[in-house]
Amino acid sequence: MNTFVQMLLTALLAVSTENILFAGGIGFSRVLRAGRRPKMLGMYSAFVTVFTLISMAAAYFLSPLLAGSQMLIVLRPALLAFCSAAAYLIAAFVLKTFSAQFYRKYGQILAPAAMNTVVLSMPYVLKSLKLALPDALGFALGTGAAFFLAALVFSHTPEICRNPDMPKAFSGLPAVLIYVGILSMAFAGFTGGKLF
Amino acid sequence: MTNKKTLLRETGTIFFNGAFFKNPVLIGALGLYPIVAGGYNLRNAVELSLLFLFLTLPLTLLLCLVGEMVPLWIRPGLVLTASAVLYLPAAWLTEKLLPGSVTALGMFAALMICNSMILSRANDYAPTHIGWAVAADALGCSIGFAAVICLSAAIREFWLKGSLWHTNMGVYGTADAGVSLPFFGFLLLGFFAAFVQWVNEKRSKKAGRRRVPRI
Repeated sequence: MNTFVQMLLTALLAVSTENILFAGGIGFSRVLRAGRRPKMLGMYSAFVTVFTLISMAAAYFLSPLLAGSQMLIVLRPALLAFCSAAAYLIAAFVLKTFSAQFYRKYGQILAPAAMNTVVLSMPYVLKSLKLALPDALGFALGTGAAFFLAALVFSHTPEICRNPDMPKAFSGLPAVLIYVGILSMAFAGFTGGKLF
Repeated sequence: MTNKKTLLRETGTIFFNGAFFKNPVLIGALGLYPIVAGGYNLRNAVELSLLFLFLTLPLTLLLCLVGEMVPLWIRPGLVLTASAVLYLPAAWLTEKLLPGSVTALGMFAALMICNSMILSRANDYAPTHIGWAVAADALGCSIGFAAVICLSAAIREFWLKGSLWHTNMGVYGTADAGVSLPFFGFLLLGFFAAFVQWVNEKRSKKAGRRRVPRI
């Protein structure tokens, strides 16, 4: 029971006050792109969750190998990216071979999801936060949910930010960036300052 | 001679597009994180710009050489792996030029491995273009990235502390600490993006006027 509560707490932290997407400003380029494909958001977030869990597990098992290194700050992120690339290649190969139809439909979001995982896991991997498996599962679920919510919010922004009443120069991306800035300001109110 | 001139002109166009007119940060919203979160003082901005250059140039040239030999579905994995490997010499070189920089940057430096601008240039642009174009694009994007992050960082540092590169400019900073938070970076980027959009609109209007035939 205690483990389950711990898992839920980690998930809640990842979605709410420690939301690295809104308060930390991490991974926005890909969230904005994911928001343009609202029909694929669910699967995209599921991929992010699975890849995050794999990355956290890999980081947990591989980080002791680097423990004595002088270049830890450089080696750890490189290792995480390498693990994520390997996870992507295995997943793509398996899906391509055994479920070609599924791969044809969702293959295009597989690579961005894997890359996003590196982005979203980096803060914790760099801080050497060795999450136990239940915590890692909670973190992965929370990250997937946070990603889904953020992309859902941004799936409606293109239309809002092309309002003909606003000055032409601000229409589109400039308005989106200001909108993101205001949202991020609200989350900064919860965290009270810098996350990392 | 004509071919050389054409090549030079096209290389120049690619370079300036990356640097300003089609700046991937302000037009494509790529690579936002280091700018909004890490670029809150000029020193950070210069360090991140150098790291960006040292990572982008070799990575895109490598993908220009081998990218088309690799099946499309393997390419993202290869790009991410190559980026992770090339990050090591890039970080070493940045550390040599500005001692202590990579350690101080921490996560801002580490996240350069999966910077969306770097990965998109390496995955989508480099494999389908010639070496000159790829080099010009990588340099243009690096200059574009550096210009945006340095300008944004200078404004934030000056406003917050009245200093540039940690050197006081003889004035007091008047802003709240919020200036160094990501949300302020997003707001600034919004205004920069609006400026580039305004310039591009003026250019296209001017070009349109030029194309109108005289009666």
